[in-house]
Amino acid sequence: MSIVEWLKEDPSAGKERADGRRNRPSVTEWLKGDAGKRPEAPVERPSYSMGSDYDVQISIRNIGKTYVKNGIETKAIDDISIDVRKGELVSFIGPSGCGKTTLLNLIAGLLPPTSGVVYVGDRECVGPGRDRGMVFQDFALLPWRTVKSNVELGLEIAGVPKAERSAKADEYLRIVGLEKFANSHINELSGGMKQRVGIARALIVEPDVILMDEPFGALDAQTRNLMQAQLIEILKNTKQTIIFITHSVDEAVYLSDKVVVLTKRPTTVNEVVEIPWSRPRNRTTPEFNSIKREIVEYLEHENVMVDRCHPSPLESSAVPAVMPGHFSSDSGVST
Amino acid sequence: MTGLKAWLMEDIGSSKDQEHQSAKNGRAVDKDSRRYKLCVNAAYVAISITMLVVTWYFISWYVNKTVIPTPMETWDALVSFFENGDSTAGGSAWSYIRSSFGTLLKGFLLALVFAFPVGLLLGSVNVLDRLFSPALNVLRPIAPVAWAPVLIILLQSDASGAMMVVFIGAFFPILTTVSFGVKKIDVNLINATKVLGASWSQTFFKITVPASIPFLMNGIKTALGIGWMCIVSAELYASGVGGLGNYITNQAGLGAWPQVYAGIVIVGVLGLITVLVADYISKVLNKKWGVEE
Repeated sequence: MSIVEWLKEDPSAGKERADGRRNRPSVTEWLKGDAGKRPEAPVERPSYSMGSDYDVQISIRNIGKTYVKNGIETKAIDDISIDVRKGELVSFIGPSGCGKTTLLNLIAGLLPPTSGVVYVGDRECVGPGRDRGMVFQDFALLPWRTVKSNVELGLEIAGVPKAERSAKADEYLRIVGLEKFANSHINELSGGMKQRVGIARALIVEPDVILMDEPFGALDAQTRNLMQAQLIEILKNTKQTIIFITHSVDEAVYLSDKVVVLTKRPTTVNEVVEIPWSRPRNRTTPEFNSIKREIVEYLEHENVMVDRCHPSPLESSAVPAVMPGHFSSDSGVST
Repeated sequence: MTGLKAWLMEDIGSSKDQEHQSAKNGRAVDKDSRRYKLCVNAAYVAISITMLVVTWYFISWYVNKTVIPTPMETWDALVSFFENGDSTAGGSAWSYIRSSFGTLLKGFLLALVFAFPVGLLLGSVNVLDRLFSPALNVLRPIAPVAWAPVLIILLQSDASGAMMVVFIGAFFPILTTVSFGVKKIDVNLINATKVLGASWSQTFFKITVPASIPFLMNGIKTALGIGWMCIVSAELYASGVGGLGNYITNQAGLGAWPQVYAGIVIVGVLGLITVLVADYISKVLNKKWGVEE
């Protein structure tokens, strides 16, 4: 076989075209954030939301992600559709390694989806944008900047004049209770304080939705509870729409209006649990615990199922099923 | 100077508060005091240097040839060099130092101006990295002074040739550390600016450039050390440059070995001072940058 033939044989190149998705923008086009390319035929919108469509803030339509490596396709996310209403906090929870972060990156526009669309309002999202803020598990703060200038980053990028920037940063530092630390350096702060800076940085540009990727996962249990209470306080004042990823059933039930339980890979929606109570909530009521138990059961059911993951050459073909009891809720619900 | 002292003591480890308190306490024999720690540090430096001098003395006594003079003979030559200048060719010790240091600084700054942006680009644009790295890796192991004959003919000046030798020597460490540093930037920092709507150039100037500064400082430290090696070797080769390397060759030609060693000692001390200053600046910057050391 000649070198030319061999080069032509790149399996991944062929596969993408075989999908019949010629009209999709290429990865580079897509990452450039070339907004405004609506699909010719709008995707049918199955609605998970109880209400009508008009107050839907962010709408995830049939989103999917397939990785192609060495000609082998691995389906990470398979057809997820979710509507998030204005001011709602929706949690995603699922077995570890189920691609929660991949899903969040798809919504953020940091990864191009293989299929499906994310709408913010009725705008189709292409690439990352200021309408979707993000809070990271490891904070992702700029250590060479002070607290205040970290918070100002988004406005700086948007070209907001300095005086206005400063006033607004002060306002948001007050919202997260860090006004006294405006001029501190990041490495002088505790983990909880760092994440409050991260939240203020996301809030300040007033995005339509904030995506939180296990925001309190790196904090100890006490700080975690404190941060949850503070987040509720912030939500009361800002009516911010939030998509929240977590490992903790307790956290999900404590914070969310809606908990989306995901399956193993290829990840899709297992169950959507609506939590109708107002916040703040009491963690110790029987109702609270029974919802927790319900979610734990969904997750455990998922774990005893045969692994549906497409075997990749790196993974052993004999993956033992995880025994029940693997998933525990944080404060002692026994199943 | 207090900053330098604080830095000197850092490896022994003490918090700022303790230092302030014990500074107030003054003369009392306090093992946590700045004074005590400075003395301990100075003692280590003194013992280390003494060991070097004693070993030198022992070797010169054992070999017993004029090419290895004793430290005392060297010291006398050193004092006389500073007091009377170069007895054969004329020119004070300071003029030699100024000449070497000037060439070093010019070559180093030139390297900084070119290597920093190139390192940033190679680190952040994968295509450029893959395109240029193989070629640069071929050039990297060549001793910079090997270019001296070519450069001197090309530039028709010994001084510019020597400067370019320093440039080549200092270029690679800065380039390598910066491009390595850029590749190591936490992808979440980049993502954090992207979701705030940053363009490529905004991400570049707000994340890539500042995040690479601690790596740049590491590169600068290495580059200055190599720079001193380059300048002296270039001066050894090019007779018209002046500088300490020239002084060393001239004196060696005359068989004035203590003078040769005086020159070598000056180069060693100057190199040390340069690196210490760069080290101090990098510590200050790292603190400001929130880099844990």
